[in-house]
Amino acid sequence: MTRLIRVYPQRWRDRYEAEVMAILEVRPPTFRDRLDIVRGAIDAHLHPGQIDGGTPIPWTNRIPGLLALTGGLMWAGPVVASALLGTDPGAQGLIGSSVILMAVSLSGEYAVSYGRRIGIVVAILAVALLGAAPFGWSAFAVALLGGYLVVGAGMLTLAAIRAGIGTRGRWAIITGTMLVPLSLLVPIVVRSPTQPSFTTAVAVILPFGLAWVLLGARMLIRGAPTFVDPPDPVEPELRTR
Amino acid sequence: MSDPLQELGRFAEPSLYILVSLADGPKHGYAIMTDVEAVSGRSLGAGTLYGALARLERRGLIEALEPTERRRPYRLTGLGATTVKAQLDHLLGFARTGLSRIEGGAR
Repeated sequence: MTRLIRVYPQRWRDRYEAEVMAILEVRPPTFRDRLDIVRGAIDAHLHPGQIDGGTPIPWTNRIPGLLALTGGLMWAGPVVASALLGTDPGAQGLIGSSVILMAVSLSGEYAVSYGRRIGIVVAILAVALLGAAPFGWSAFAVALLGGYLVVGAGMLTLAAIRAGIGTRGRWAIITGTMLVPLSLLVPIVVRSPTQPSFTTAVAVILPFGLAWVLLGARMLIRGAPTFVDPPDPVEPELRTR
Repeated sequence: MSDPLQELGRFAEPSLYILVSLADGPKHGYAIMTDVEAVSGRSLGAGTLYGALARLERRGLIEALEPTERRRPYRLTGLGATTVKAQLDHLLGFARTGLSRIEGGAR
């Protein structure tokens, strides 16, 4: 039951957690009650101003989350459709546009603040990828996947920072959605240096879109400052971590 | 004058139930849930209950009292009592009109 309440914002929990736990102890929640609690948690995240002392999130702070979520869906949607149809539905334009939305969801200020750290991460990834060249990768494939890794990992890192994900979580996201799928691709290519199968390509790039859907949803609920908003007072503390 | 309950969107109806429940004296969360269920037949989940309580408290329609163990009672404020009375008067007028039309149509 405690796990259910953990999905609420901290300020809400400080005020109401003990009362709700007392109720749930005498009246164990049904499936419908659990759904109601999750719905209440989403509401509490979306409307923090309704809780005593909470500060309402400006609507502009929802824009980055909305863009990231839409970008993720525009990436994952055609990929899933391709997998289901077994053919390319000709939606590369949609996937290309999704990257623009993802990029716009990241404000310039964040890119500047975390640029050095992100640069180090993506450089390591790029070198690792170049190390794969002796395994028979074509120059085009290395350049394509390198760009995907460097740009994709950098953008995911920024999005994770904006969504309030800690360092370990950021690494887990990049590892789970980019490094693991790509590393699974290596033995396939080594065994058969021809173009990877359609299913393999889908399996490799789908997690990237799903990561954006999750990060976008989190940014949408928690709010992420845009470059037009006043600076977040918590931000300097975050930067020292 | 704006209607303070209609501003609450999906919490408007649960809020009215809560205000009616508190009309005969302070109650804590669980007592409100069981009372609302007994009076209206509607089941209030904890998520909806506390979403509505937070909104009512913020608008000054109810106030929280000192908790006993982990249970915190809530009571109606003067504004809350006025609001719930106005809402019920409105509903009563609406119900009377509806019933008289039904009875008139049945003749």
